[in-house]
Amino acid sequence: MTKHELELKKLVIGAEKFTQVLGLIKHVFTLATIAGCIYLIFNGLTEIAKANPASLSALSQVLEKLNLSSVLSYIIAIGSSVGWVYERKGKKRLLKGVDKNRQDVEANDPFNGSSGLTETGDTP
Amino acid sequence: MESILIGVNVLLIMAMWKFMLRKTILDHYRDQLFDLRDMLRATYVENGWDLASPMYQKLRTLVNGYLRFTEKFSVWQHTYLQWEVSQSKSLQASMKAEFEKDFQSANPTEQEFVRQFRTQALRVMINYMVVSSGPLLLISIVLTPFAAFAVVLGLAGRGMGILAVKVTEAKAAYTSLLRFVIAAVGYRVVSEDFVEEYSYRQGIKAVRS
Repeated sequence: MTKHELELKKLVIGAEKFTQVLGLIKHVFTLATIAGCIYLIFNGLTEIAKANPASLSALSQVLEKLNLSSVLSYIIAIGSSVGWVYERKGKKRLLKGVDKNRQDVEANDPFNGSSGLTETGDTP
Repeated sequence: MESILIGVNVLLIMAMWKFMLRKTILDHYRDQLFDLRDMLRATYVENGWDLASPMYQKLRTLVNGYLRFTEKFSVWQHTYLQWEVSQSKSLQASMKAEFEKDFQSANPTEQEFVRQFRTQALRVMINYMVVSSGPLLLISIVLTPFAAFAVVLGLAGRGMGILAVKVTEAKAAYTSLLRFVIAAVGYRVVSEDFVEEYSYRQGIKAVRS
């Protein structure tokens, strides 16, 4: 290992540490956001329940107050997500075929180094 | 009521980004890299260049390195490492010299192809780094309307009516503009040389291991 390679290796280790710290901060931020969202949801439910003590449940109040446009938006979002999942499955199935063809074509190449990804193009 | 919907919607947006959008972004850029790798082989075959040549192996290793490590490419890690390396001029010069030496060809046509190929592959990686980073993607999207406005002003200034632009052309122009802004943001944040040199090293290490 040359002097420069050693120097770079040290810097890479430093950069990895930096990324880990950054990842930790990001993780804490994500968890705080999730906790904040859960707090908002439960706080809202509690307020509804307090305002309507006679009501059977806070959840039924939430559902009653959802207007048509909100419900339609959620239906569109769920529909699009389900469509995305099926399209992705179909794409991955096709990618397997493409990978097989590629391997056949390149089988006799003197150099056919692989990317190391799975046959569907994902990180192993 | 409002707070409940905000809470639910923020959670849904976070889930969409993590479980859907990021996967699609990764696939999109990996598809482009696979296309480039196929194009590399096709060009070598068409021109009768040797598929066993060191240059072909190096270019393929470079793209394989990009493909294998696309997911790990973080714009912040690169920026940090790039800044650290820039503090040592001798290390910087040594990395560049060593890397450039690997991509020299005696054939001018091949040399030009190598240059273009490396640029295309690098653009894919830099665009991926920007788009897969939430804050940088947001900056690019926010900047694009301003860039579009500047372009429209420029066209109007040259006497071309905005209405003359067909809707499909405007859409294509806007998409190109977004790509341009993403690339511009990427090139502002990371050094292209460094991204290439570092990923090539990573790719070689992966092949050896």
